[in-house]
Amino acid sequence: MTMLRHALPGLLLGLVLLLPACGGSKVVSRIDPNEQVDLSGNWNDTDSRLVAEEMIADCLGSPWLLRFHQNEGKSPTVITGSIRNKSMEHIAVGTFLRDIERAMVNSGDVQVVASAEERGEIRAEREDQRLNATPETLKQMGREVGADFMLLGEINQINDREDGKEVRYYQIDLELVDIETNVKTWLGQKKIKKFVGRDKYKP
Amino acid sequence: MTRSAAPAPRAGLWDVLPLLVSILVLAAFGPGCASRSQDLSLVREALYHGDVENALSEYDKVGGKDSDLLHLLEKGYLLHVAGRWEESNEVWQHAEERAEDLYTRSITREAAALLTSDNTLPYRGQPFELQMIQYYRALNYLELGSLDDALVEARKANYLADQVYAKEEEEDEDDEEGKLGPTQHPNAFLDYFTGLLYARAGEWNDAVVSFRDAYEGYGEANVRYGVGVPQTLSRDLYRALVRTGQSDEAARIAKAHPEASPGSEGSRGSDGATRRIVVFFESGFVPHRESVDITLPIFDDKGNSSAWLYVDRYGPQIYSYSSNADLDHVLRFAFPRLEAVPSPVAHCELEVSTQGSRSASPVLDLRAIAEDDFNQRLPRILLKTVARALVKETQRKAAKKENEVLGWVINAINVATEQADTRSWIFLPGRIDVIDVDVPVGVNTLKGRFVDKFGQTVDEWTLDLSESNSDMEILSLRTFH
Repeated sequence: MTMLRHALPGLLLGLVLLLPACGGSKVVSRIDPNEQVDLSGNWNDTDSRLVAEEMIADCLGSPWLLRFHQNEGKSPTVITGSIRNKSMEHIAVGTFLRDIERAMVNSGDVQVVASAEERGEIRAEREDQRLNATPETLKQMGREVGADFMLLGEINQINDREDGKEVRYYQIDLELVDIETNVKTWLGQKKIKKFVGRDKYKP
Repeated sequence: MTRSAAPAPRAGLWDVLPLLVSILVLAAFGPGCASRSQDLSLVREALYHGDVENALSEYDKVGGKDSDLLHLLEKGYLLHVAGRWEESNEVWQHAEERAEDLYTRSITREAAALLTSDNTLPYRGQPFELQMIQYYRALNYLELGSLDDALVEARKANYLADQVYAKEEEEDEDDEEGKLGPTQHPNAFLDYFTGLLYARAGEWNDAVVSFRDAYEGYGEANVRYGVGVPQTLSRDLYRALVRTGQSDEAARIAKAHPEASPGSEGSRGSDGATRRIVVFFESGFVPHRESVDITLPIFDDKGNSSAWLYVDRYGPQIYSYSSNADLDHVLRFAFPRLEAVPSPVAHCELEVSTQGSRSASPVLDLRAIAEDDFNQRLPRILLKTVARALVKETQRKAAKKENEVLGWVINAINVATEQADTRSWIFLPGRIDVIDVDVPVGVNTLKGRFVDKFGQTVDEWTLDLSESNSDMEILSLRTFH
């Protein structure tokens, strides 16, 4: 037993050194896309979806929509412009834009037209149809719906860190601009504050 | 050769077996004896010959795990120099996440390191190494044509620089190898670089802040590293101050740096007939860590000599020992030393067909930063080496008291596990120079040269700007000489 007592440190060391070589096996499981999973504290799919839904709900609940309906007698048409990522993270702005468009379209209160990037492809298709499609299915040029408003935005981030504690603050600003008059019709703001704590030591 | 004269019970094979197994385990899975730079000698050789694909292939043979931060840093760098920008950024993203995870230290591993060597600890990277990730990732994004993503890296770089400054102010803040000193970081360079990115994006308020921080940082760095305020920085700061309407400060800069003042060549902005080309020249390598191994036979008091007598008598011929002295045990110390990598590059120049050659100015001396960083860590490293030797010796003595064979086995383990931590990101350049020129629109070919002290070209690159449609380009060139 005495021998083993001295042998133990050596064996333990051997095991400790072996640990990295024996990495845990990979586990893959399917989870609900709406389930909130925060791993690193970075901007994630939940932030994107929740911000889009809440801000568009705020936008569509504002008086400008009712006024537009009363004055024009139709639903407004919106085009999404650029949402600038001015944060410290590589945020998938495209995903955020799609979330916004989805929230708008699904509300039924506004219609959304293809963005500047998308319409080039659609126009090319119409051009192609002129040569290749039958007359009865051919789509006409020059019949696009012009947008009334453009949605623009910006994502900013401020981090504050002390030892293992970090606060991440995101501010998302969206604005709806009347394309004809440049008047800012609606301004929305959403703030997210996250605390990320790390232990200095683990066993 | 006899062992200790102290009486000890005989050990049977069964008693010693667990330890022999542990020795085998250590021998089989423990860290190798070669230093990191020796492990990667073929990779460096391939880089030296400009064969980046071969370097990558050699690196893959060395292998590495995604949980190893050093592997991620090295792999990301090789992919960067191979022009595989997206893959490089992906790997470095993992590196950043891994570095974050490593904030939490394992007490078990720290204890194991005290009984074996620091190689058992995961590599956390030196602060200046981690800061360089943002420079390279931003360059990758510029190559990919994504200025917005490059700006994300710029903001991260500024945030990290603030963290470094904050740490300097905390006197008790240190890592496992010692306190971070006041000058061991590339903050001034990164501020200058991020200022250029903001300027390119037209974000002049951010540009002013970065250029101003860089200007102050170079003032401090100049004292230690001999890298003064680059001429191009004073011009950039002046331009940014004028753009943001800060005329008083702009006048002060113009007074201190007449070359930046209105009417001088340096103050010339883009007029549609020219475009601005900024080229970073990276040369040489940062110094790397090699191992210092000291193995001493310690003799029994009853023997002919003690260790110091033995060394005195035989000097460096330590392994030619053949006397009848009684060997008690073997003592081994291993700790890292820094080895410089000389570079023939004395200066860099850019040839513009219409303007002739222009010389670059040094903007970052990573060699000096690495040396300074290491020198500040060395006392702590040595202290830890001595502490480890004491722990190991206590363990050996206790084992020997129980059983002589066991004492020798423990001694063997102690010697086998005593290895210096020679890990560092060895591919980083030793020095970076910059050239900032206005090139007439239509001039699409530039030549960048790395030149030795005799004026001979060490390495030459041709820059093709024909596909560029921006009025400002930020590029980098690398020579592995």
